[in-house]
Amino acid sequence: MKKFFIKKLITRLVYSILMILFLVTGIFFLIRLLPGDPVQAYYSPQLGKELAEKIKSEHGLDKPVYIQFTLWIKNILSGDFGYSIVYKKKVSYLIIDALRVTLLISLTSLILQIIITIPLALFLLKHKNSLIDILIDKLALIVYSAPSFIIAVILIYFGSYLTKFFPSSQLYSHDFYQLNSIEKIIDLLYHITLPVLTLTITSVSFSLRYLRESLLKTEKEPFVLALRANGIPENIIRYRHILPNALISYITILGMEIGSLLSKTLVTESIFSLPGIGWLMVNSIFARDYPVIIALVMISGVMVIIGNLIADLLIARFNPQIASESI
Amino acid sequence: MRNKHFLLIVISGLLLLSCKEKDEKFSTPSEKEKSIIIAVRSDIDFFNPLHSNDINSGLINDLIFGALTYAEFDNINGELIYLPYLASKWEISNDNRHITFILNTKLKWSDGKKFTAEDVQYSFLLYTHPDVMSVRQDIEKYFLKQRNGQVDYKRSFQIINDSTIRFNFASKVDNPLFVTGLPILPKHLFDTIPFNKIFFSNINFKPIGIGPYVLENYVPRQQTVLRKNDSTKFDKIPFIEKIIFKVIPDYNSRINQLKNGEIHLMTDIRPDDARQLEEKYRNIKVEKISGRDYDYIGWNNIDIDSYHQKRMIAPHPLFGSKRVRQALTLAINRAELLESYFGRYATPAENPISPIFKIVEHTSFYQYEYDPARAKELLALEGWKDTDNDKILDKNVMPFKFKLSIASGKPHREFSATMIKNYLNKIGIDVEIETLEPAVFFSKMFERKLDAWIAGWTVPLDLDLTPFWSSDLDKNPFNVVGFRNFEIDQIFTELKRVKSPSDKKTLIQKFIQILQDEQPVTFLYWIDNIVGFNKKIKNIKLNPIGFTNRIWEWYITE
Repeated sequence: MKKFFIKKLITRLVYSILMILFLVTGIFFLIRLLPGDPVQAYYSPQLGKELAEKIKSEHGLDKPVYIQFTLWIKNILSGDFGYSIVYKKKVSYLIIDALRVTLLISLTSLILQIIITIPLALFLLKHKNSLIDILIDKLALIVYSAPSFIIAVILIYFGSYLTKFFPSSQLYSHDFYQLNSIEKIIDLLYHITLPVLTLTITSVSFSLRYLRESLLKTEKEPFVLALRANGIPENIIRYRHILPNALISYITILGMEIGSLLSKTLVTESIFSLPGIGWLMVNSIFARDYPVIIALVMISGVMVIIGNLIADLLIARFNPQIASESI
Repeated sequence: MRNKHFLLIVISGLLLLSCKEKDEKFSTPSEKEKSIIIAVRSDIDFFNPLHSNDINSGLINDLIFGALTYAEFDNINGELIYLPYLASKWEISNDNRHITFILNTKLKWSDGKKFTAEDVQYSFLLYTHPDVMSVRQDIEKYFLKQRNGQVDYKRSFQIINDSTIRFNFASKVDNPLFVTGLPILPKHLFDTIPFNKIFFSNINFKPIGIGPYVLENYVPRQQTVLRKNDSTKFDKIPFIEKIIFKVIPDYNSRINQLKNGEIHLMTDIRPDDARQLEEKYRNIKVEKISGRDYDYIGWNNIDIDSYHQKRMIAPHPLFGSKRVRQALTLAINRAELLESYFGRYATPAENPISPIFKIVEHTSFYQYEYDPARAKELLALEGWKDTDNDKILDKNVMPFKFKLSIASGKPHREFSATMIKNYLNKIGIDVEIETLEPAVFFSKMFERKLDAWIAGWTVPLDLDLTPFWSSDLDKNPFNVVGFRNFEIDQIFTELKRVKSPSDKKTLIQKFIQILQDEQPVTFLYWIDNIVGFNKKIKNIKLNPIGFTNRIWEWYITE
């Protein structure tokens, strides 16, 4: 069984790597078909396009695209993502910097989402069809239908503008570099509260409805009826039998969420001026910063694969029967 | 279970602590630390004036580095004036071919090294050397050359002694102080880096200068903190200890933070918000900088297909005729357009010489006044009539129909485009508004692939308009409308030769008259830069050179 599992896992990884290569190759060529010049910022009335052409040549952008591609593959194999045209820094440094911010807010929100969703869904199961159940379900539907920037604006209005509890932008205070370690943690928490809440509220609204439905569906399964007929206490049925079964579909959703961590933060980072992957992606696309865009596409691809893999492993943990099918 | 409770207590405690912090964070740091927070839209590109290519980055670099002279715009006389800065005095030769600077050698770089004439010489070598790829490389045209065509830096930037340097120009230079007014860099740091490696070097983010401020902290895409520089013996010692440039890309976040007191100053405020700030926010002062930025409607003067497919220059089928362009200008009620969006925050534009320059007289009204009837007459004279009664003018079966392109993200251009479409519809012209992503828009504009568009230019301080209006389209990519007029080319050549202000004025008047007659573009308005700042900051002297003008004189009151 174990051997079979590992073999499946390796096959899955090989397919994933091939898929990323295919994706990145496609993006590499497609992005160059887009109109727009990555060195346009260097056009000047006095120098015309002369300086821009020189900078283009420094980045190897004057070479035919297939040569650029072979060079890029060669560099990637040695771990070099190249230099950003806009930020004039190594792409790997830029991405590591941005990834730290994005992972901080998105993983915190993911953990909060799990902490809130599971108990709340169980609570709603216990009080199904009550007024509170209906209210929370409808509220979740409304929040889910609203775009995340609306949630962000509402939180900024109440949390920052009206009450002045939290700052409406940035990751740190301007004197962050002068604070001690404890103060730094507090400052960071203080700054990420609103963006994390934005992400959490949006994701809880979705996952809660999903898990609630799954719990209700599982509750109607014949095995639950059998357990009840055998006089097993309701709490034990709920926590030990209904929840693990209902969680399988929720874990699938979580896996997808891990995969989309980078794209989910795109709007939130822009609104709260957080220097994460989302903001980097938006700026790079607008500025046609090819090396950064391709590296980010690659990272996103890897995240999706890791997310799905984690989800599959968790499902396998909860239900070994379906392990061989899912991996 | 105990662990769970402990975790909950820790999380709640940290959150409470972070909320408690608010009093300290939101009490304006200006009171406590004598610092101010300025919001900027984008991060600094380089802490190095060799490569810095963005307006706000230029202003930040000017605070860190210093130039030989301090340039300021004299609003009364409408010209640049120069004050002693790193140089204590200077002398310009009678033939305007040499300028000698006496340097203030008491000054030190912020790392403690002495400032000498060698720093000046090396800085100008860097600016002019092609391998450095400086954005200011164009100044090399003024200096003496070697046989290989590169600047002969030892002769051009001649060191007389440690505190004296003389610039020798290849020929008469109109304004030697303007040419030599670039920030000075420390030789002892730059001479260790090969010229072609400076662009990617770490030195671009570790600046050492002699200006009123030094870099204290830089967090990419978050903030730049400048601290008062009291180590260089510079006489311009600022009152304000720290200036924090906070990067906030979203306009709405910036304006809300200004209202909220999270930031103390922001520029480029939209007119609607400016009016609201003036009416409702008593702690905020709104001022405007009459600027050098104008918007225009570009009419492509040349036929796009002939230009791109056959490399031939033929008149554009719609806008190739001067009378048609005149008619289009007459058909647009620019005064109403200006009033509706900008109110008092813009002035009519009729030519590319900003009203801040007093070299020509400016009127506060449009000379091509709104006259749709006359516009129709002119179009009829060109053969544009509605022969098929579809309410759209046509000529040889071709309807007068075109796309008016704009770049996304500029609300005033979106507003103007809609108004212009309506005005032109009234005289039988069918306009479709096309909103393009900025990178696509500018790429198409520079390739001269757009029919008509709304965009803007900033007029250079030396008023050299050759790149925008010269007929050689290959050499001048900024002549995006493809306008060609050989009389104007002659005027530009003459302008470089004549010296007397009255001769210059005559030539510029002539240039303006030709543009007025030809209407290669329809000039729309000069846009003021609206600046909002907390009233606690005193002595702000906004200047067309930049809002940070004389920042060392700013101070904060309780």
